[in-house]
Amino acid sequence: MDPKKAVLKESSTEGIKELPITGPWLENVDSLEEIINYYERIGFQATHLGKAIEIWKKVEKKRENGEEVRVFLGYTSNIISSGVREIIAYLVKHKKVDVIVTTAGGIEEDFIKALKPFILGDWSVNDAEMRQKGINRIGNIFVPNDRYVEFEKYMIPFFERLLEIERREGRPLTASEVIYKLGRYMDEKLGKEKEKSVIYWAYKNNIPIFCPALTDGSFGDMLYFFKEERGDRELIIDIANDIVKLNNLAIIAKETASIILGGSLPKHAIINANLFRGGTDYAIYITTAIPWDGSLSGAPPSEGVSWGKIKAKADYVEIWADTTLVFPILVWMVMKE
Amino acid sequence: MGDKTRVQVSKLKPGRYILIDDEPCRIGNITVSSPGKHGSAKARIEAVGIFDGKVRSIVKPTSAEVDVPIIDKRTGQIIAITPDTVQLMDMETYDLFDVPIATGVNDEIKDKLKEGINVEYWETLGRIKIMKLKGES
Repeated sequence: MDPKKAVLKESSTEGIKELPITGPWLENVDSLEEIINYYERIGFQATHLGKAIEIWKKVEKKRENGEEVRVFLGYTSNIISSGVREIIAYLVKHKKVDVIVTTAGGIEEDFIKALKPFILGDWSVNDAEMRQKGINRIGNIFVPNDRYVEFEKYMIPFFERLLEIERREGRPLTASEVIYKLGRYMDEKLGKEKEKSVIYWAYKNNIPIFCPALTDGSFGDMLYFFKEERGDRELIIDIANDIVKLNNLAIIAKETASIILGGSLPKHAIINANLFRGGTDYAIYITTAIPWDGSLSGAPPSEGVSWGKIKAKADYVEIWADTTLVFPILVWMVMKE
Repeated sequence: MGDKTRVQVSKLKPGRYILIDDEPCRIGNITVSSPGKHGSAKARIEAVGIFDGKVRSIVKPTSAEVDVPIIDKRTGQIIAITPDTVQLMDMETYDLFDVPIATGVNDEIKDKLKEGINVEYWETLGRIKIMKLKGES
C-alpha cells in the first residue's frame, strides 16, 4: 500500500449536499439573532440547535394556520429550579404548549418561587455546613429551608381542601386535577408573583399538567406529615385515571410535537403516550445524558423510532447540551423572530 | 382531680407524659427531623399507655402544642383485697375507693399486694392506677 495514496485518497461527495461549515463573521452581524441564524452551519450541537429552531418554527406555522399540532412539553424538576422556569411560564401563558408532564419538584418549586425566590449559590461549598445553616443546594442554586417552611403553611390548608373535595365528590382526585386545583389555590391566595408561575397559567388556560410521581418531592413529604399527624388514610391521589387522560390526548390529536427537556419520567411518559398514535410527528430533545448506558434519558429520538414512539418519518433532533444554555435561545428564535 | 395542660412538643422528653387519643401515655422515644424540604421541624413521639400498656405514636411539628396529663401521685393504704378489687384509703384525705386489680394495678406488684401496706397510686383525668409499694404502715 502506497502511504501517499493512503493519506491522499481521492474523495467523492456523490449523494452528499455540499453545505459549507461557516460561522458568523462578527464584522457583518448586528444582532445575536443573526448569529443564531448561522448556528445550523457551525457544526456539532450548534447545528442541532439550528435544526431544533427550524422544526419548532414548522410546528408554530401550522398552529398559526389553524392546523392541529398538539405540543407536549416535558421537563425535570431542575429545569424549574433554574430561571428556565420563567421561559416555560411564558410558553404556557401564551398557549404555545398543550400538555405538560413533569416531576414533583417541577410542581412544588414553581409554587415556592411565587412565595420567595431561590438564590444564586455555588457548586463547591461545604455541604455539611450548608446543612447546619439550613440551606439546600441544587447545583449552584441555593434553596434556604425557610422557603419550604413557608410552602408548608400553604399546603396544609390545601390538603384539607382536597380532602373536602374528595369527600364531596365521593372519589379521589387525579394528580392532574390536584395540580389544576393548586393553580386555582394560587390564584386565590397569592399576589402578583403568581403571574410568573407555570401552574398558575396552566390553570388559567386549562392546560393539563401530569405528574405521576407527585409524591416524590416536598409535596409528598408534606402529605406524609399531614397524614401521620391526623391519622388520615382518606386523602388519595389517583394516577390510574390520569394515564387514560394523557394517552387519549396523544391519540386524538391530528399531529403531535414532543419537546423534552431532560430525561426520566417526563420524557418517557410523553413519548409513550405517543406510541398509542403510532408515534409523535415532531420531537426536540435537549439533554446532557449519554446513550452508552442504555438509559432512556440518554436515548436519542432514533431509539424511540424503534419503539414506535416517534414516527420513522418524523422531524426530530436532539441537542446534547444543558437546557439553561439552549432553551431561552430556542424559544426566543421561534416565538419572537 | 387530675387535669391536663398544654405543652410545646419541643419541650417533651422521654419519661414525661402525653395524652394520645385521650389516653395518658409515658413517652418512650422521640425522633426529631430538622427543618428541611418537608417543612418545619417535626417530632415523632412513641409512648406507652399508663393504663392499658398499648404503644401509641404521633407526629407533630415541634412548635405545636399537645395535651399533657397532670398526674397526681398520692399515697394510699390497702384496706382490703378481694379477687377483683383493692380497697384503698387515701392517706391524706382518708377517702375510700375501689380499684379493679385487672386494669388498676401495675403488673409488677400485682402479686405483692397485702392488706395494710402503703402504696403509691397515680390519679389523672378521673382514672387511678396503683404503681408501686411503699412499705408497711
